[in-house]
Amino acid sequence: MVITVGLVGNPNVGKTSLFNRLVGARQYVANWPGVTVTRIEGATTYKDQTLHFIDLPGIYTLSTTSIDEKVARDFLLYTPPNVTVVIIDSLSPEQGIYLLLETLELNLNVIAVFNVIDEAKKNGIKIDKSSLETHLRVPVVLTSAHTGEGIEQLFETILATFKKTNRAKLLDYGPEIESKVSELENCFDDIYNKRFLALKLIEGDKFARELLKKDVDVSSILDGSASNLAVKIAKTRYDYALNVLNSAMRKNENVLTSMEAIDHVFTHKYIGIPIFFALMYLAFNFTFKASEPLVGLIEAGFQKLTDVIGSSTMLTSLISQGIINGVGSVISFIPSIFALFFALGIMEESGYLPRIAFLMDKAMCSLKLTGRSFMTLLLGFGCNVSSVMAARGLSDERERVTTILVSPFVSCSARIPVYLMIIGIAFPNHKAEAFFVMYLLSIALTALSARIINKVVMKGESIPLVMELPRYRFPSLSNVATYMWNRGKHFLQKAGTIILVASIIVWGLSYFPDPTNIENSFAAMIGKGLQFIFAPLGFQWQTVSALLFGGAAKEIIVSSFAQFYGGIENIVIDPVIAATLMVFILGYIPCFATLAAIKSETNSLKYPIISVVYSLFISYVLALCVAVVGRMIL
Amino acid sequence: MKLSEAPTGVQVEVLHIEESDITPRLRGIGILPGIKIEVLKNAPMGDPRMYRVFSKVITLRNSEANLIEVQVSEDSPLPLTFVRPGDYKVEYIEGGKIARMNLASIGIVEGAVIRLLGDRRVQTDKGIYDVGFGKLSKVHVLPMKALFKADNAK
Repeated sequence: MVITVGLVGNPNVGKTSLFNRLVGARQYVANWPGVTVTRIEGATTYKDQTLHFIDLPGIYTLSTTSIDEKVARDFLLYTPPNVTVVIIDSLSPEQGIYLLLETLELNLNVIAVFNVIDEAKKNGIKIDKSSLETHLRVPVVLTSAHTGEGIEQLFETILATFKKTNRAKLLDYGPEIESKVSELENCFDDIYNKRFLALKLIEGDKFARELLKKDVDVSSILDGSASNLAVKIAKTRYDYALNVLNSAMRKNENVLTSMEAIDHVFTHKYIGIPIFFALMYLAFNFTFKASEPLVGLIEAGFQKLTDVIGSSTMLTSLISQGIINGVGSVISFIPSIFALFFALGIMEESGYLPRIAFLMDKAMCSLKLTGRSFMTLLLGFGCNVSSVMAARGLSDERERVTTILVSPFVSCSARIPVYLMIIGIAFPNHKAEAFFVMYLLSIALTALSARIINKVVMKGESIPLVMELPRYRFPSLSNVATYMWNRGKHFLQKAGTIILVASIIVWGLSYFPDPTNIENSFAAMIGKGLQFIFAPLGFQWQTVSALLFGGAAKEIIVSSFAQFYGGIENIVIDPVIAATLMVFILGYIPCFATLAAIKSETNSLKYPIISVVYSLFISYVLALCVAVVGRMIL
Repeated sequence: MKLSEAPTGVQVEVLHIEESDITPRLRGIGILPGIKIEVLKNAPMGDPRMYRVFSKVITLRNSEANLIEVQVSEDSPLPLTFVRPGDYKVEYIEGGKIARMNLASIGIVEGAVIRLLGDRRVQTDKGIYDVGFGKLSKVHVLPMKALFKADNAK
């Protein structure tokens, strides 16, 4: 027997932390059918029962205007779980209870969870559990994902609840609305939850209109009063919620003042943005300082290994040069990547990230993007494929395509090892600074491209932003670790697959036809043949070939360099060419995986081609500027 | 008054919301006629802005806040830039330490009784001062008359 449990709640109520608590590491990420909103599931056993948890997107209402709301509503309506857990923030419960009341209208097995109870206690908020249970007529559990309080009890309650069948209707909306509801209920087929749909119809939900019986005309029932009634329905729910809270909760006035002081600085209208950049700089500095010893150790280890194996025969050369040197040169940067995601994880977990969207929204708006697409683009710092895919969540088509097309300019983690290698060679004394400049440039290039694409390719209006700013939280180590692992593991998978294959191909091209001298290899011939294009930028044939192979995946640039020079420590690049090269690499071409994603998401060949041509053009121009200016200065 | 025009630090009551695509979500968040909203602060360039609805902090762009018709709550303190000349009690001062220190040096502190004279001149215990628009907008006051009435009612 498997019990399915759906987790529903407002955004930022600690739903994901609670989910992590419930299922631990036994979780996996999938997509909802048809959309790329991530669907997180996990299973665990409790008292010989298998509990299958599904983490639904954070929402405020089951009326659907966004894709997140649609996903949650469809799941609850068409495939109702055995138990639905509605998670409510103990510090701001009003909106949570509103959602709970809506969920109850679906006639589901509902448990109300009041989460972050530890913080509520600290703030002097008293919650009377039995009073809540009497008023809401559902089991109530007080939990804290942070301390683990109430988790055991939640499991018990789930087991006790899932057998129950019919539940009484909770809210009476008054004679006017109730009579309309019962009239409208006749307009739906029996297979649906008719009361829920009737209410949604009055609330103006277009989706409910589509589920009406074929030849029914509801305009006579709804007439002109629907919008007034919709307000009345919402008001009834809120009045109920406030009454419940009045009798079951004692609040303490004037709490959270220290947090307000922090927020005053972080979202300050003048110094807020400089503070954001300062924090990013700190994050990069941390990335280098924390990972440097480990990176050095791994590099030395691989170096030893290649020396021991040698490269006298074809087989030993394949193993030591092609596989160990090629793949190893990429793997040795993994500690840095994990360190960077650790720092970004802290920013996200603490609740700082939405504040950046708040600060940047006006600027994004002038690029015809929203804070929402800003968040999508932030995913691109992990991998451009995920930001291209996540753009599906944007409801506006013009904004979606723009976001997809500018995604490749967000400096993804695959570019980190390339920058690290070049910075290590050419700017050993200014690592964090050089890295910081590359990220600033990446943001500037993304913004510039959004501007150009909006001017040239499409035109339109911007879409609304309704976003909650969560309380600041002290990030828990386990949540940050989960964040870091979920984003960094992708990199390990790539090292074992595409980078391994590419390294072997590059080895073949540099080994044949003349193993004794790399200057006569196929790789050299290709590089020298194309070198004239890059002559103005001052690139050697090794660079040209590496860039060509790196078109498949950016890490291959590192692996190619390592093989052409017989190890990273043998490479010499002067600072001007290094800067030119990094700027070129920042934009020059989306990797194969990103191009494939762009093609499938836009369903046309036009956009991948635009993307390649445009990115080659703009990065060549920018790199040329850097080369010319650099040579004038030095 | 539109919600987008309400000054920061003020509590407003929602009167009416113009129907649009996001109205259901606004209702879900609790933005409904009769509900009180606190205007918290502006982003750089004055857009978007932060509001408190019940205990949640929500950001709305001015283009959306324009759909919401509000009035200032009766008992809400108002910034000095929003009131007629007269006697007022300072309820609270918005902003960080530096702004508070500057205002304290001319006798404007929380709890003080001051007289607004017009032309942005303020009379305090320490004398009469010309105060800039930016600073005045940070000082939130209640009229002395209303306070007197409230005391009598008790």
